[in-house]
Amino acid sequence: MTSPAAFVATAVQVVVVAAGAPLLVGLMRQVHARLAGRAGAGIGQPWRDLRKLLRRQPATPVDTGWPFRTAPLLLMGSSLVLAAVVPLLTTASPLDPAADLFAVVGLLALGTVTLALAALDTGTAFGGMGASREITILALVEPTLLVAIFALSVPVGSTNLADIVTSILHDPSRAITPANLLAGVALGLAVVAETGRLPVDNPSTHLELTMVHEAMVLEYAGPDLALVELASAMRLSVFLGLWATLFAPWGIAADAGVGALALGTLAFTVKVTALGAALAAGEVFLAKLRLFRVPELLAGSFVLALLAVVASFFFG
Amino acid sequence: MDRRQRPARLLGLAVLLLVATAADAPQLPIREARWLKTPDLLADLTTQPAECLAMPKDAALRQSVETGRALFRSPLMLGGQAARVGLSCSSCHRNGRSNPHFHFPGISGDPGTADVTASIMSSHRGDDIFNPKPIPDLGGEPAKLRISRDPTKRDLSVFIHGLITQEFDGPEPSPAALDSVVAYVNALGPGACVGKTDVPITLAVLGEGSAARTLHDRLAGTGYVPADVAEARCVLYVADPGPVDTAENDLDCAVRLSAEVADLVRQLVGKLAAVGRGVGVPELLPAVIMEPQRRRLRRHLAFLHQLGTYLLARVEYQRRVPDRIEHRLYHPLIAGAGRLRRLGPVLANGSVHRYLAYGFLGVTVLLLTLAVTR
Repeated sequence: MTSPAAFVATAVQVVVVAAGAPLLVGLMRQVHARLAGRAGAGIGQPWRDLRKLLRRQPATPVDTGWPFRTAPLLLMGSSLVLAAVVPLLTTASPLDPAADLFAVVGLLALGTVTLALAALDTGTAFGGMGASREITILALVEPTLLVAIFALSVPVGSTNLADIVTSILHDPSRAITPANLLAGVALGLAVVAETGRLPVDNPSTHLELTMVHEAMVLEYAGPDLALVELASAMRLSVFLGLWATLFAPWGIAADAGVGALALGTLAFTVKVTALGAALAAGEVFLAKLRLFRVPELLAGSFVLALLAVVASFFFG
Repeated sequence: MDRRQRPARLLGLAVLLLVATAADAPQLPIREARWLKTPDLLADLTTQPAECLAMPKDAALRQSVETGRALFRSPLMLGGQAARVGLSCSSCHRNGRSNPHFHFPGISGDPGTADVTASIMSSHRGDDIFNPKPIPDLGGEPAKLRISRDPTKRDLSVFIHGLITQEFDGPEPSPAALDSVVAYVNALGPGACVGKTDVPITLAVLGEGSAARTLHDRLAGTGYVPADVAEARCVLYVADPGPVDTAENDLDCAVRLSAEVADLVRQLVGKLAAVGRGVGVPELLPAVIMEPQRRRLRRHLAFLHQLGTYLLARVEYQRRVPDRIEHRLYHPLIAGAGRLRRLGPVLANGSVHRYLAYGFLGVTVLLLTLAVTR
């Protein structure tokens, strides 16, 4: 299991996610722009933005402490660990024991909480508002995430993500069980909420009083902002990849061979690109939900996840 | 096939058909058989009790009684649902008497009874209670009848008027028509039929060709006095179902036969209007006699008849047996769903705290369940 090839595979996975994440964001913006009748900035624009930001001189607001300063690093670190741990390209990873359901959900929550603390640390009104909203959404999304992935783990008898993926690969009919479909919808809603997409949050605005994620990162500038942006893009990629891996795992490499890895990379790219394009296309037709209506949506997704667990107990 | 043999074969088939009706009642395409539940259907269809009619001396009154008798036998007099299924006064009071074998699904209990407050027939008097009463003999002892025959009172007239307009939802009868029926019923009495027994019904046989002529002669020979169309109790129409040419199929044959029947009805109506006699065409019973290769057409007729019987039987069943599943399962289910619906807004009232509690409880219970079961 822990062959050198496996380490290489994991490294490739991290590199693909890190390099591809800004491209995914660029693609989604491009799709959105084209559907909205604009020319768009091109797929590479996020990378150009990041390069521009990284060249700038670091700047932090006065009276901010260590939470604000360490947050980008922690966020980036948690995103990198996630990219390494979650079985996206291959299930044969040396970090396999860490790819536990609880660990992954915990890592995802860690990044969000870090950013929320950093936003509180700035002491601005926007930061506090954004943090408050983000934590509200997080508190409602986490149970959904846990329960939905639970529903998938019940028939397998393991909370290890790689085990879940392998079992679906061996028995493809399991992908269309009622439990799986319900969990897919619930997890999809949770992913939309957690990555701050419409209808929960509008990712393309910095001017609305209702913004959530952008309100938290409003005080960041220069390389710190670049890190936060890159980490957010990676989280989006990991979330979409996780969804694709759990509900359409075909193509994922079962060993660390070069051919299998290449195929896995291709499949991952295609799946995440398709999902991202679909998400962006769907957003064109959606308006942002009133903030007070968001809990209803998330409670609905939680109910779906709960139904998925019940279904997996009875039919799985 | 030899054309000369056909009349004899047709008559044989006619007799077979009639005999078959006695053994296999639902197959009979004769409307009257639908409301008869009798051990001997053939006898009930071909004979009737003697009419206890004392014809008055006065010429004007005689005319009124004759008109009343015709109205008594016409379904159009009752109107509404009764006319639609072909019921007339004489369905229950055959020849002005009673009908011990009358059995109309949904209205009758035992044969010879009827629930006059059934909602099938009347929207006015329907009481949703199934309480059939025996049909009285109008030619019986006057003391046994509920309605007074006293000519100085208007009891009978009021009763018949209410019967037509309310019991059967019929159209308002003209005063002359109502008086005629009253005159007819008043002329009925036990004194007029002492010693008389059942009599054959009057028949008119219609139809072109030798088959009709042969049937006419045979019936006359057995005591069924052939009568004029306007006076006959039943009209037997003998259609010749033989193919016009060999290329004619069943459908063409059916179209041709129905055209013949329709033609005949038009002629009858025209004739009756011309002589100014009779208020309704007597019930027309087109006895379409089939050759063996016409079985399919016969099956169609039998199917239509069975369908009518089935629908009536279903109405009767639903009236007699309340739907237990509906009362014990559907209504509680719907009420329970309604209560659940009212519970929804209480459970999901938009409060974030409440949703957080649900999430917390859900995950906790799930973890506990997993810890216990796995």
